[in-house]
Amino acid sequence: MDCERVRNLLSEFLEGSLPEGERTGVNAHLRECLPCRAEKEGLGETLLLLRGLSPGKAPAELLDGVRRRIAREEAPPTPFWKKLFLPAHIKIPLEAAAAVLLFLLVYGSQKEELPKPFSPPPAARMDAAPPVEGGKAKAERQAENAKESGKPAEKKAGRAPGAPRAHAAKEAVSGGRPAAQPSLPVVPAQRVSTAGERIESPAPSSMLLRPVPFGREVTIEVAAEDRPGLEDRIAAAALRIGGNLQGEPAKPGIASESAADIVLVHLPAGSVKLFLVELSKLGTLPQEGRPGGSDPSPDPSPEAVAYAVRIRVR
Amino acid sequence: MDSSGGSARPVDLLLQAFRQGKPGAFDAIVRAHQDRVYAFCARMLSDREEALDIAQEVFLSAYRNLGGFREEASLSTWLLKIAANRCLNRIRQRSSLAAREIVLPDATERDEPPFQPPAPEEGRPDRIAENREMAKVLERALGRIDPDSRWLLLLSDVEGFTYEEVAAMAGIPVGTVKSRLHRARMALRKILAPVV
Repeated sequence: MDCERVRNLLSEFLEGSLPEGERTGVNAHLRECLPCRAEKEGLGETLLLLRGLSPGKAPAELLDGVRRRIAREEAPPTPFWKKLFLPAHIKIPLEAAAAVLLFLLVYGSQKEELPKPFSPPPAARMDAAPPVEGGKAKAERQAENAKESGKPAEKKAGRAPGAPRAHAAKEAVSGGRPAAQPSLPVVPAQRVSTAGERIESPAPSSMLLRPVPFGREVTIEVAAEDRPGLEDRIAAAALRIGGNLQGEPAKPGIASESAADIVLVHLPAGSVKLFLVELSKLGTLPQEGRPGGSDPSPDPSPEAVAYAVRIRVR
Repeated sequence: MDSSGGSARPVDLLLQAFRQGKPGAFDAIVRAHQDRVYAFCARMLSDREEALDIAQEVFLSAYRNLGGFREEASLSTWLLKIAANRCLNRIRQRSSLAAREIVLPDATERDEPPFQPPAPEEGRPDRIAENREMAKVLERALGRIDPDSRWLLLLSDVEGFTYEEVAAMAGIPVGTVKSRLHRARMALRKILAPVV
């Protein structure tokens, strides 16, 4: 038996589990071979060392740690909201942020609830539907509209062709959609930039010039031959009594129901009767077109009265 | 040697008490097995903190699964098998495995007294392992053995399980256990040659 073979059998030889024949052979080799005998003794000592190792004492925190882990496992899972709000370093900033948010919400809502600007009744509004007219007048207007070739897009869009330049600007800004807030008071723009986006509205110099809703309306009826230049005459009448014209005088010759047939003026509060007298000199004021004594829509300020003078051709 | 790794009767009673839901039964089970489980983990991992962590995991796992424990093996065998698997997993997770296991710390670098061979009257084998310094040297030497062989060595030569039990726990043939064990013992003997 050679050394390698003997060394491979040393574990079983030391444990006594080697068959008798091999045990005799290993014994015979060990009596002859000093290195193998030293190897056997060293291995025997190693085994004795291993078997003599005591388990030692586990640290006391082992049992405590096991208890803690079991308790953690058996505890019901903490809800997410509780995890979020329980630690003070999260809770306090969150509560502070909530308080600030609440304050801003309340402040904002109160600001929105401030008195709304004067809104005229639908009949007096410039963008309101015109009163129903006779079939003849309507047919005449349609015929003249057909001649108006310069503004086909406006007609297609169902807009009044003259005044709502401001509407056009608004639509350009809002991506071509029509204005979604018909209840807001309509203040015609004085000038519209050619860029189509910016509406220039110079600040009024006095109370009278401040744009106000046109809460009153008066109709003036004139013969067809008196129609040209009527807007200028009405404007001159308003200016004579200390009033003002809202916007540029409309161009004559546009007979459709539009801003061209309406002259918007601001008058001093005490000059209304005088203005009506002046108007009656220019044409007839039909009874149904006169402002009523008990006008349901009050003027926005005691100093100024806004009038929409509607021109009707006989 | 008790191949089941402990007195079976009290453990069985403790197991029964635990299954009956008696308070404190699991604490008693932990107390009965913690020294062996912890020592096994410490020798496998060569790190007392990790050993403590793994030993706690072992008992936590036992707590979860004792209901399904079928008593085909003793409770200590079952616990050590869990411990062995956990330790091997932990060793595989270590990124610095080679560095920690190849370098045998020099006793002088740790301000520890150098190892002194026992005096002749203390040289009896049953007293050598009791020598604290010798135990430290032996445990360090164990740390240099391949982990897959180390746990077989610990189960067989330290814990006293038979080849058949080790083979069953490792899921390998008995012959493979024997050959691996012999190689591991010879490697350990080579490491310990300067002091043994």
